[in-house]
Amino acid sequence: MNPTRTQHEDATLRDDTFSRELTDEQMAVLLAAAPANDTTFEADAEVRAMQAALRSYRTETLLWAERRSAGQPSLAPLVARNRFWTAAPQWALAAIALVTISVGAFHLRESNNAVNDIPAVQTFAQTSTSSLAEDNRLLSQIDVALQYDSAPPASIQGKSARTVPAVRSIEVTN
Amino acid sequence: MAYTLHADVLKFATQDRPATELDDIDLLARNYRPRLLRFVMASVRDEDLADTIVQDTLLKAYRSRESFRGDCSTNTWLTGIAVNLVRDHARTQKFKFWRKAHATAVDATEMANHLRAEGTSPEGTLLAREKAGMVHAAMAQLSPNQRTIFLMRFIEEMELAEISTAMSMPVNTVKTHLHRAVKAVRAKVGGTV
Repeated sequence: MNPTRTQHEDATLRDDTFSRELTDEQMAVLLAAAPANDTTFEADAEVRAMQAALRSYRTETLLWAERRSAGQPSLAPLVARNRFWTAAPQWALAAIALVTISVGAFHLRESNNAVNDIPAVQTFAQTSTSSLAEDNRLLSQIDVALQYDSAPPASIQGKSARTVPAVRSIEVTN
Repeated sequence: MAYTLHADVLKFATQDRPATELDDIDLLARNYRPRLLRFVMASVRDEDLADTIVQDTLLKAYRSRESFRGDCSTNTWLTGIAVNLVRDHARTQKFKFWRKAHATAVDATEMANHLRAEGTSPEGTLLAREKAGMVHAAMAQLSPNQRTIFLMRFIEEMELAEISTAMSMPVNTVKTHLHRAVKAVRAKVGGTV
């Protein structure tokens, strides 16, 4: 920033606005600028009053902060303590990784043991070919019997009951 | 207790420090702690919390000193770190607790009452404290962003570009916050001083 130009802008601001009330933007510019020598304008009095208040605040609070800071302990021990960890990240990380892997391996072994301890699930025994053939033969006989029984009654076909042969009884043998 | 200001503290805002300054944590604290403490105290308004945040700021700056490229002054860089830490604290329950505690505690303008400037009359000291108290009370009404920017501009005497860097905000946004802050402080202080 060019200081000459800033001073020129400040001077223009003063000429233009000190005969009336300052806007907040103008006040913000003037507060940050050096105090003016002339005190003829009413608005200038407000700027000076604000500048004086800010200066008082600046001085008083800095004095307080200086005094309080003087009583603060050194930060060097804190830095040294942290440096111990940051200076040796390799072995620290390696130790953490080793512990992590050990814990993981331990849990993996425990879970494998737990799986082995579960009793085997009972499965159906394999049926032999002969028993399958026997079952098929039995099912076929049942089918034949059902087809015979499900034939329509003779009266529906217009036949006399006497002409219809007697119903054979089919025995289903096992 | 008589107390004098360090000359380097008074002029540090306008100068860039050599990189070696960041390598000595105690030198860093000696040069920047008072201003940081004043800034943080005015922001959080709690002495113990301000101490903690300033200490964290200095430690964080020291640890990440390698990342400081010198694009801005050390003061601007440190202030930016402090602003971020104040924001972080504002988000935590801890900070809410302290704000509640502050509401029932003695007003923080007492920091001005602890001290007495040497070489001034009792009346002058009283008047200065009164003015400082009015500014402090007026800043309490501002939003966090407005207060921070007002402090940076008129108390820390930073340039708008520096504030923009420290706050990670466009300059125009900084100006808007600043004008609103001036309006509020002016309404409170301007008519009474």
